[in-house]
Amino acid sequence: MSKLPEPIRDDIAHAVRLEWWTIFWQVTIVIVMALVMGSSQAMKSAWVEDTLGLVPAAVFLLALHFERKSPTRRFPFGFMRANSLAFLIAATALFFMGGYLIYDAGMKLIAQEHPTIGPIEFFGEEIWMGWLMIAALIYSVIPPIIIGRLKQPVARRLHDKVLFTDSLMQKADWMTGLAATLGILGVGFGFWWADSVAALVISVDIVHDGFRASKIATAELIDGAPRKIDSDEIADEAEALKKKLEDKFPEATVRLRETGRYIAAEVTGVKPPDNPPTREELWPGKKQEAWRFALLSFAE
Amino acid sequence: MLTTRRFIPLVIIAIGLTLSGCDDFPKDPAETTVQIRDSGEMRTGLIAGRDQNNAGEKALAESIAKSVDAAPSFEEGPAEILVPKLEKGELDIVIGSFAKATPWKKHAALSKPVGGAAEDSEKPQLRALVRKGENRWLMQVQRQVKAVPAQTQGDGSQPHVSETGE
Repeated sequence: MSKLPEPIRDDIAHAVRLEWWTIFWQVTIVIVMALVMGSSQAMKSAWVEDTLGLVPAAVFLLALHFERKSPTRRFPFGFMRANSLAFLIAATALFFMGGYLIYDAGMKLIAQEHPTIGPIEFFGEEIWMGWLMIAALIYSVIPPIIIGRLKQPVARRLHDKVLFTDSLMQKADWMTGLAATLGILGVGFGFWWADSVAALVISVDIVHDGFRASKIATAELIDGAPRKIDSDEIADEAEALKKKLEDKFPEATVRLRETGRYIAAEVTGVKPPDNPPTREELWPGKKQEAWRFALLSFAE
Repeated sequence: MLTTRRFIPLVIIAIGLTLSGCDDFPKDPAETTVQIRDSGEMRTGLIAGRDQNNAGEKALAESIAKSVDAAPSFEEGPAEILVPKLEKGELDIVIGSFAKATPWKKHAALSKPVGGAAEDSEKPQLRALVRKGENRWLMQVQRQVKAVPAQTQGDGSQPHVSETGE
């Protein structure tokens, strides 16, 4: 598996371009948000979420680099799982960062801290900083929503969970923008708590993102059965493949596991047949997706 | 607002256009501006300054109070006493020389230095402190602070901490 399967190379190249675009736009967003963040807790949470939005893109690009690497003497199975490991680390970071922000916003609510959003000089006029914050928030949701939508079909074709989770997070970015905007407007209307409440909502969303991502990464790291890309349930193709193998080798135990985007099957308790069926023959799903079935092994 | 989620950007822009022309947006959660207008009194804390009669501080206070049709009443003392009073809402404003990075900024919102002088994070500069979160009041104060000339200032090299009133 030192090289990527032929049928997905174009999609991979597309995904790589999208992730580089993500990094570019996300960096501009992080800078714009930092400039107007002020002392708003909601802005702080939204900014952290925007910064963490860089992580899945970076993990994807890094993991792809490892996936292409040939196995070595010290790592004879290759590096396909570097992906899962990186993803788990990223998910854990999301989870704890979100937890910290919940604490931070919660403490501000308890202390009844009133957020100060004052004036700022803008082309010689003193205007309310809140307007700039809202403008930055609107800017911050546009690129992710567009790129997130573009990524989703590619992620499905590639069965790439990092990419898919990334696209889900980006598509949901408008909620962060809306929550923070309502928080800022709320402060403008004299409700001091609106800012911290908005920050809490955003922080809970960050924790949720982290939790979802860590579930996916964990399932892969402990040899879970192949999952559907958009849920924690076992994939239909995996069930069908298992059944097919069990029909062919009725006395054997068939186990499937997932390594990155690939599926490996292990048939134990039978002698390896002299003419083992090819993986293409066994693959129950669409022909163009047969590349996913990357390994079939027999053991007595 | 909550019922029109789908049109967020439009709604926000619409609200923005409506409110930016509006004088009472943002509002003060604790209604400082309204109270000053109603009572005609701006309760002012003066941090004892480098010149004995606090001329610069007083002139700034007069100009801010006038902008909301009020007159200042003064209480002189150290920041240690005045800022906590400001936090509790017992004062409307505290005027004195503070650096941009003053530790007091955790307890109060800072205006810019008078006369639109450039910010200096270390050097104390004459400015106003208002209660945190009183955003409308802060904007009101800011406009006046900017308009007042800075010439009553000393060179600002001396720390402002008062030797009196401890």
